[in-house]
Amino acid sequence: MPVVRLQSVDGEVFPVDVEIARMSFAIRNMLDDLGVQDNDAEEVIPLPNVTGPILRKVIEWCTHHKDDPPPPEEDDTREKRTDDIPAWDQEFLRVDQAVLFDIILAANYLDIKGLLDVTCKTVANMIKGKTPEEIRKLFNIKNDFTPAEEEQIRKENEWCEEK
Amino acid sequence: MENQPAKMEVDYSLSVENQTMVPTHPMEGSSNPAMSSMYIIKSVTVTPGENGQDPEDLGKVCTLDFSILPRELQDIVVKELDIETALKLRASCRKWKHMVDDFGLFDVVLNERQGFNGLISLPMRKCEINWLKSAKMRTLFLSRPPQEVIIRKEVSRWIIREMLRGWKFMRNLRWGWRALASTYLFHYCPSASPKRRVLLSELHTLKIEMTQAPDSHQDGYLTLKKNLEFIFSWEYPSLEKLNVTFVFTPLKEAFLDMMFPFIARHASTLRTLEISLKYSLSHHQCLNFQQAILFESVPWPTHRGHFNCVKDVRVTTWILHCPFRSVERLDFWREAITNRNVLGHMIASRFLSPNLSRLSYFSSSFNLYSIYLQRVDIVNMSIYSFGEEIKSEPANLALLEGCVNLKYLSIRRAPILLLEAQPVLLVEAINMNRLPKSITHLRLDGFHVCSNDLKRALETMPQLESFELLRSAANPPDFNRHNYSQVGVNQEAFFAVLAHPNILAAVCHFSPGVPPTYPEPRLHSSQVLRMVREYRWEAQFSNCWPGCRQVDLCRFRNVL
Repeated sequence: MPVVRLQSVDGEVFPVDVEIARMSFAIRNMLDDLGVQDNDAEEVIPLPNVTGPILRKVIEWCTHHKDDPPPPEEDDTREKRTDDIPAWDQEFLRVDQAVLFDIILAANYLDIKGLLDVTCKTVANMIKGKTPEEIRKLFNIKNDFTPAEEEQIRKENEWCEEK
Repeated sequence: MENQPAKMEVDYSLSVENQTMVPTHPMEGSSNPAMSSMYIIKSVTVTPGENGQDPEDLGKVCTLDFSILPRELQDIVVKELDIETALKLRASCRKWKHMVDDFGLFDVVLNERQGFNGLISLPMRKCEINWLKSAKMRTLFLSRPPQEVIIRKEVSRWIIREMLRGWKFMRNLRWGWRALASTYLFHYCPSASPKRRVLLSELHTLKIEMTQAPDSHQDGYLTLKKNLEFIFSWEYPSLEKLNVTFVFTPLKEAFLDMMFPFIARHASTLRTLEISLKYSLSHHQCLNFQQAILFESVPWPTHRGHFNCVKDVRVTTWILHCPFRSVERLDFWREAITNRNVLGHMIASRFLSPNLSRLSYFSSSFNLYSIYLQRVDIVNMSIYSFGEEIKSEPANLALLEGCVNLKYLSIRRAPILLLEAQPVLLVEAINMNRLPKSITHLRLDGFHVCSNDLKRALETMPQLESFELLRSAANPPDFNRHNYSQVGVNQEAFFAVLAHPNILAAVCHFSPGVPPTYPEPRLHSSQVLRMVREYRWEAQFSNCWPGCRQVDLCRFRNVL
């Protein structure tokens, strides 16, 4: 199996199957633009925005999902669902927020749509079902509304809760 | 709730071995000196405390701010939220309130079941008013006008009056037939007053749906007529688009009598007029509609979720600049709308506007109305693929040969039609050599073009300034959209584009990962780059879909 070597910002090098590396559209484009063929082994691709531990996690995710069908195209009309995260991914993303956010940033930089979707859904799930107060606690947000504004928003929300 | 460090909020014990204490900045926005001297724990590992907290929540407690993610990623997260959660998020702080508000997420539907508590000041994308009888309803119209207002079902005249006052700067209004036919929405007949007044000065788009249900009775028709009379009697100084849809409803003279003067009065601002006739057609009826220009036959999804035959026929007048200049033409319009063939001829012969230079064809009507090709310098042709049971004569592109004025030519095949039956070709193969030499802008989208033909044709079109070859099938097209991942120009065709002496801009698709069965040599990004540099072009690459890339080319010019 042809291999490409991915180098993280801290100098760590990860040999990865080309097929897996190409799940990242950013890497795929780099390989194409460099004219790297599938049988060109030992090519080192520097990834200046990803640290070694995060890159390891990303590669682990890609390896697990290498046989998945391509994710569907963007469709704003689709039903919003965040309860469809596979069990393996849920377990894989059971990390602290710092790591989770770093994985989101890496998925965005590397243009791995599937990973970006599942990580953003995970963050969305963290927010779901929580009261504004719980959301503030979760993300350490300061409540900067005046009491009058807060009352107004609370009343606005009643409309939604009545549904 | 004041912002506080995590150690004060959680009731867990912190495992010391993984704890990282980082001296950081003073607490932002805190006026408490004691708070400003505190440290923020950047990373914590939390283990359950004695209060028996749910272990699943443990990893979620952290002092990191969600705002470390760039805005576009925050947007992705917010888009994943349902409206109820978005409302909660909106209530957490000002910053997130603005973020959620920016989305205009909220499509509000007011009906009897959902009620209205008089407190909607949410940023509404769409507000559909089906029922509104609460005494608090005035507060609704104190909110920012939604991007689109829909009055679909029965509402009272008082609601309408409040809406027209409160949302007088709305830009997009749609009247449903049921609202128009159910009750008198306006309490006086404006036709009695010769002095016209301005209503909704910012209204950009006005849509009116007219449907005659089988059980409609005469009272409903009279109410509908009265309400329409009122709507059409006002002036909308910013109106650019009028859309009138008749569903199952024959055009009545009375409607036209109201509509035509209205159109004529708004001729200075009106840019788009859409008159749609929608019927449910049986299969054999579809065939009758294929011979008229601008009669767009589009597939209509059935309840089974797939397309099996054409069920919707739309008559669209397309975009006509300054379409109506005088009332004298109203009689012609009347004839046009009631006779589809006449309408087609009128549009094609530029009756509606002497400045009309653009014609948009559907392939089935191309041959029939090709006589008008001689007059225009812009031709857009859209081609839909239908199932093989619908037979039609392919568009004869050789007719373009005599168009000595033609400068802009765009031929596009609609990409996505999920048909069970094998579609048939509704256009002849693009014979590049027979295209007029006067063409300066050429766009071919979704066709197989022989590379040798392309090369020869480009040599004989010295005036060509821009060229786009998109979704050009590598193999003879089989109309399967999944094959678009195997499309693109080959090396020889790309070379011909780059070597053309006059083309200033070009767009091509190419597929670096074509399968081994592909008969032509594959074209890599690196090869494209080499060729582009050699011929002194500037190139910008982007992804179209997996397996296909687009290159936007601009001829490099030395600035001395």
